[in-house]
Amino acid sequence: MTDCVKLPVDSGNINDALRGLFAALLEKDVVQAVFLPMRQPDGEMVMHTLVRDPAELDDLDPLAPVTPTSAARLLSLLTSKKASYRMAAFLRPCDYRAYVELGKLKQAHREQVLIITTDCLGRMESKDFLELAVEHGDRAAMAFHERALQGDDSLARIPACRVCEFPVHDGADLSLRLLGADPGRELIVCAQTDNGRSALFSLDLEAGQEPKGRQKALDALVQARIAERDAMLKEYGERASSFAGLRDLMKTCINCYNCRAACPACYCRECVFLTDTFRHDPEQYFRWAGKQGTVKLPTDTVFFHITRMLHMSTLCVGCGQCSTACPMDLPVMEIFRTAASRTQARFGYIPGRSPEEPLPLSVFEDQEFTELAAD
Amino acid sequence: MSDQEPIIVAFVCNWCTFTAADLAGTSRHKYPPNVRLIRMMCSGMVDPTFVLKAFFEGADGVLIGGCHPGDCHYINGNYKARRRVALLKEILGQYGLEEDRLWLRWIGASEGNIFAETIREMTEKVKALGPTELRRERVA
Repeated sequence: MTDCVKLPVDSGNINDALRGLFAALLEKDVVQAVFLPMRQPDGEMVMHTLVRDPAELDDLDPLAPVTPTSAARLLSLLTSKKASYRMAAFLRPCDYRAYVELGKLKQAHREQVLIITTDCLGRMESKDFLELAVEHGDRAAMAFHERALQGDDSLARIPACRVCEFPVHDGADLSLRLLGADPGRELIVCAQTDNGRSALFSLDLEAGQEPKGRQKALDALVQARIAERDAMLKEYGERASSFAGLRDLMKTCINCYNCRAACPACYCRECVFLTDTFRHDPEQYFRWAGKQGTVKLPTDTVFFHITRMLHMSTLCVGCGQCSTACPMDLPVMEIFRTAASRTQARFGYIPGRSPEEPLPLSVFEDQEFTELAAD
Repeated sequence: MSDQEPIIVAFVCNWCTFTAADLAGTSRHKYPPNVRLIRMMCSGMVDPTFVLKAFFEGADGVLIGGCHPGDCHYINGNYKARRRVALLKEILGQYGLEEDRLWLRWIGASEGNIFAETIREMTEKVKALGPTELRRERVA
């Protein structure tokens, strides 16, 4: 009796195997729609797509190493209200963690979704992925994973993935097992929740086993990631240890707020920076310039970043969409993860770990942080 | 710049700390004029962004004054304030703002003398720290 199924892979064509899984989910009416990465009409780019017709799954590519924008945010659009239908959604672990946080903010309803995740070896920026896609076509995912599973560090993964210490999520309903496995030969999919188990049972697929080497491979991977993470936190902790340091790190910032738009954890319906609060009276600029001698425009650059940290650093899952979206290639992820490591530690909070864990600033205890207000 | 008097911005709750400040005045308790009082209905309505703004505009110290835990006029505003101050201390601490520049104090309506003492103590401590980096550097 196993919680896993085995999808045979023919000649390294993992997409064929995955198509079988997703088509079965639709054909057996386990779900009425699937949401997963799919190759676009140009044949190369991959975008998350909502599919209802199992005959339209030809171009699926869930393991393509690219996530152009936060899939958590996209899935929250699809589940912002309770729906009449059930859906299966493929999410990277970081996107699932962000999605869990959005659920706490009532911007996502998880109950109607069968979450399928994977052992994640990272993603690339869209332009780097396109180079891979031009070279390998629909085999890009396999080409990437072959090298990634062998520990090839030369793959152009984004910095966020290099420092991600949560490459798996055991709270998702189903998970692809890639670590310690041979996806070129067979794909193992395991259920991690009751919903996952009943979904697999309905699909009636060939039973599989957890890859024996997985835990060891996972431990080694997490250790390596933690080392890189700590090196990053040390570097950015030092470079951004003063306001002037932060100012200089953000020196090409133009207040476009792309990082905020891309961030799945930025939850405000109306960002304060888009309100009259920041539509300063011309006299205000004149006064600032008078007080300091000069004033750089746009104003409120460092102020924006620190405010955003105050609002969402406890929810930051390190997905790196902020850096991906930045037109100036600023190290937004590094700066925010540095702040987040402090605020999350202060509250003993790991975002996305559990839907039952309340957001740290939405609760309080009678006796806590008593050292803050020496009575 | 070096001998400048520090500016302390104090967000004080209407029911407790502000009333204590009033009592300090009528009781003729002496305290330095460095503090600028901003009356809030509750310490729980102090948005962390207000504190950030105060520092960015040149405040050398920020005080948040509220009712003692359990005595909040709105039941739990001060508990929320306490968590927000923990958050602020982490973020502002990352960028080098000294811990002793952001104070959270529970000062009840009858504690006029404690209000005056708190302002005296804070002014002295903050003066010793000198002006903040945000006063010396142009950071916008």
